[in-house]
Amino acid sequence: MKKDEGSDPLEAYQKEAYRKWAFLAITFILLIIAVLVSLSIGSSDLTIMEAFKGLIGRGDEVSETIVRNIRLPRVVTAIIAGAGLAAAGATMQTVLRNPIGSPVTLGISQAAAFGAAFAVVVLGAGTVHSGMVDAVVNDNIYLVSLCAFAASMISTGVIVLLARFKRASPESMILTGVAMGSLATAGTTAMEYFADDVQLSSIIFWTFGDMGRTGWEEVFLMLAVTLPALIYFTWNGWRYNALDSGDETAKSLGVNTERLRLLGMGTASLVTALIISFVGIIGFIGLVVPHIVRKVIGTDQRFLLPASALAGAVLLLISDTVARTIISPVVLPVGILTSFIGAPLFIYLVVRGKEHW
Amino acid sequence: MVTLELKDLHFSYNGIKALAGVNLSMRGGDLVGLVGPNGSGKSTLLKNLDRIIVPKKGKVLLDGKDLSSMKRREIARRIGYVPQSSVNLFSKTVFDTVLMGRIPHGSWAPTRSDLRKVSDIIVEFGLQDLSGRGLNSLSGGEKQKVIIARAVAQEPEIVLLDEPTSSLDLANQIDVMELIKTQTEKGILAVMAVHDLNLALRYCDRFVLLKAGKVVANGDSDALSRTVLEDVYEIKAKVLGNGKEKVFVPLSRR
Repeated sequence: MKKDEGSDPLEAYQKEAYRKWAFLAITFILLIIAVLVSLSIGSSDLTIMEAFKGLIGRGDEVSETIVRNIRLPRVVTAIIAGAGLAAAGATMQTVLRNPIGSPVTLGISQAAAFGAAFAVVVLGAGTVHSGMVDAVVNDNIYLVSLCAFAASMISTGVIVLLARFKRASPESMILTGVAMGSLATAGTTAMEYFADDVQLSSIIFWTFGDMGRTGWEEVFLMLAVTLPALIYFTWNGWRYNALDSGDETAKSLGVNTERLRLLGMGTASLVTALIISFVGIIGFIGLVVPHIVRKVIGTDQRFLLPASALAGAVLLLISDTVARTIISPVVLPVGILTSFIGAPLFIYLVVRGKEHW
Repeated sequence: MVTLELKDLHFSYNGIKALAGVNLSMRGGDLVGLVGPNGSGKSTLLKNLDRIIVPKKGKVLLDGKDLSSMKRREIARRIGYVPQSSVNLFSKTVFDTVLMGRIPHGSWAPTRSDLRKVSDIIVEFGLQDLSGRGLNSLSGGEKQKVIIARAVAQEPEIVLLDEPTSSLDLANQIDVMELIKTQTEKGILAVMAVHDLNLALRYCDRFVLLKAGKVVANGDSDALSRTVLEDVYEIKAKVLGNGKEKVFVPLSRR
């Protein structure tokens, strides 16, 4: 056997670890830049310095009002939603043992859409007004959010309960998720069929996704759930590595696979459902950001999960900033932008990056 | 030296019996070859020994302590397991794979000493040139060595191996068996399910022959007599040589 060849494995490992830390640092700096840029541009343009001064309370009254009251909630929403969706997506892919694991695979997005449609059509939360700047605004957004969240959690609850009977196998979770998603889609279609024109447009605009629906209260609620979830995911990153190596291996390494899978699924679903119910459906982030990050820094979940969160935040914030400025004063649905920016980048990385599955 | 005792162990898959009252006693320093035809219960027995699956009846005692009373993490600190196949979602590097062996000893992240230990094991196994490569990109032989290295990183007293040489060429079979032998020389008990009787005869200290979930023979190479093997495998065969040089030649079906 070879004993004297090659460099010290520990040295090589640490070099690789520094590279991963560097990625985290660069993504964080990008996020800061994106925040300042996003705070500075809009219908009344500020310089980056003015935006920064407004943010820390050293600017004039107008810039402080614009930055702190109008733009900041939107920016923070995009950061939380991007980070939460991406980290939850990465976790789902691992616990479901499926590279296309996402809120759509589990039917969470579809259930949220059904909940929103139910609120609009059955509970009469469907009065909308439309303007050039705000596109369509739903007048009873709390009821719609509550119903979307409730429907997502009911759907997730069914999946988790059935999975418990099947010893939390990923196959049973995915199959139940697909069935629940299909059921929710059928329910939404039925709602849409009986809806009037105003209700129909309300349902459709809800599904587009919009970072501008949230005030500080909703932002804090999202943060209160997403931040502990991110810490929980990262705390379990090493054990998720074992889960990626198969259940038998994970068990033999002392990991309680059933508990880790159910809690991971439950937490990821909760975060996703809460975010979707406040901002609408944002495709792509949960599915693709983890893959993009894997291509760049590899598959070690201890780094992947925080890096996905940061990258998701950057991508969604940039997308939202472009969405509200590109053909201003019209605000484009941000989901269109996340896909337009992310899909080509992802395809490039699929072709050029390392193979990991 | 560690001892592992099995008392009246039963297991069934959806009502189909896989183990039907297995009684065994094994001790540290031995390489035990678990042999028998397909479906005789070798893999099932190994998984029961690590509580990857839970016996329907009976006990596994590790140094006299019932495995069912131990936490999964505690078991993982004392027993390592090498599965038959390792298909990874999102392939990890060799270093990260071996590092997983430290999970039962750590909390959320490896310590500096974990990293040092893993690095040393990688060098000991001659895997340093592959350290940064993805597991799924390795050859069968390389992969098997990495998985055994991961089990060794657990610093276990017992290693269970499910057909570790089944898909390897002759040179790699010898490499892997030598690696396992090195571990048993340190006092570890290795229990290995194996199809290749001649490889088992060459390396194992003891043999447990299973048929239909029951122990048919248990002892040194003398326990694997021609008549017993012919009966268990339902074939005609010839046995040449003795002890470690004993060779079993299958001739025809009976």
